[in-house]
Amino acid sequence: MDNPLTPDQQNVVIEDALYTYPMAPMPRTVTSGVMARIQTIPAPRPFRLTWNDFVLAFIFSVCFGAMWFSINHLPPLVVAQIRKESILLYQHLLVNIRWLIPTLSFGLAAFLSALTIPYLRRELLK
Amino acid sequence: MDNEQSFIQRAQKGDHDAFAALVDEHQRYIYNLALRVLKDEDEALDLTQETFVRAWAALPNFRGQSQFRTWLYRIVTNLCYNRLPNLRRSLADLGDDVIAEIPETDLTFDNPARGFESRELRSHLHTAIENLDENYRLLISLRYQNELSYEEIANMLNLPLGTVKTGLFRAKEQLRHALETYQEASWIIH
Repeated sequence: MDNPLTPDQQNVVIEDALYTYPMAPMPRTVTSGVMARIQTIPAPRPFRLTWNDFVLAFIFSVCFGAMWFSINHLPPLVVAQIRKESILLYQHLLVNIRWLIPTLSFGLAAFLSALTIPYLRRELLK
Repeated sequence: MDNEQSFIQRAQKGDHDAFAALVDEHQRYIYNLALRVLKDEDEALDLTQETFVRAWAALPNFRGQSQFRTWLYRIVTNLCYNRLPNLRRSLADLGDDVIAEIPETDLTFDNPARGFESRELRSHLHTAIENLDENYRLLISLRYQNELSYEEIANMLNLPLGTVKTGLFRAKEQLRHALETYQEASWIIH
């Protein structure tokens, strides 16, 4: 190394070293390990729309369409009657079944908490 | 490549043998990328295995918009982020203020590495590459070992193009500094 390298020569040397940076050999293959692990994973299912999805979507659309059409074409007298009945039902709920909403809320919370028990048990037993 | 496409399609339908062929084909590259970043053989092997397990689970989402190997690099890089929490931040902190374009060096032109004790120089620089920070090692491995373009690296790491160029520029500056130190030491000896 008698003469210092010029910046251009340094660039070439550095690029050369970067391109010749060797790949390390693998100490062992991971194929068997990977294959053993994916046996326990269900085969991947690509996202696809099936005929069932189309039929369900059609039924829902028809139901919502029919509801919307009915509501908009009911006679005013019937609409007024429905409104009156719904207000009465709401008042009835408020006065007589006051316990229902908190009970439903707590029940739902308890149900959702119970759903986590199998997972938590699995994690604890690991 | 057509062969790989057919393996990918078969694996997407749940064919284990096709997926095993893909693992055989790509594991060395994934392992090397993990090894360069983590600098630990066991961890790199573990990460390689984890990468393929995740790839299997996510295979239905692979639409072929990028190359399969690039897609695997993305998975292994995300796993590296989990192992090295500072890696993502150190990449983002590189900024993009250094240089807009990095000129590619023509290696065929008057390559002094052949004239100047090339083996020792290379070996010294390879050691210097190994001693770079993990963010630089990742960028260098993607660019030079795996031969991704700047755009592909930026896209894969979700970084601005300028940040990738800056990172590689700074890595080369550190290598230049290592080279100068080596040259100075050589002078003293001679």
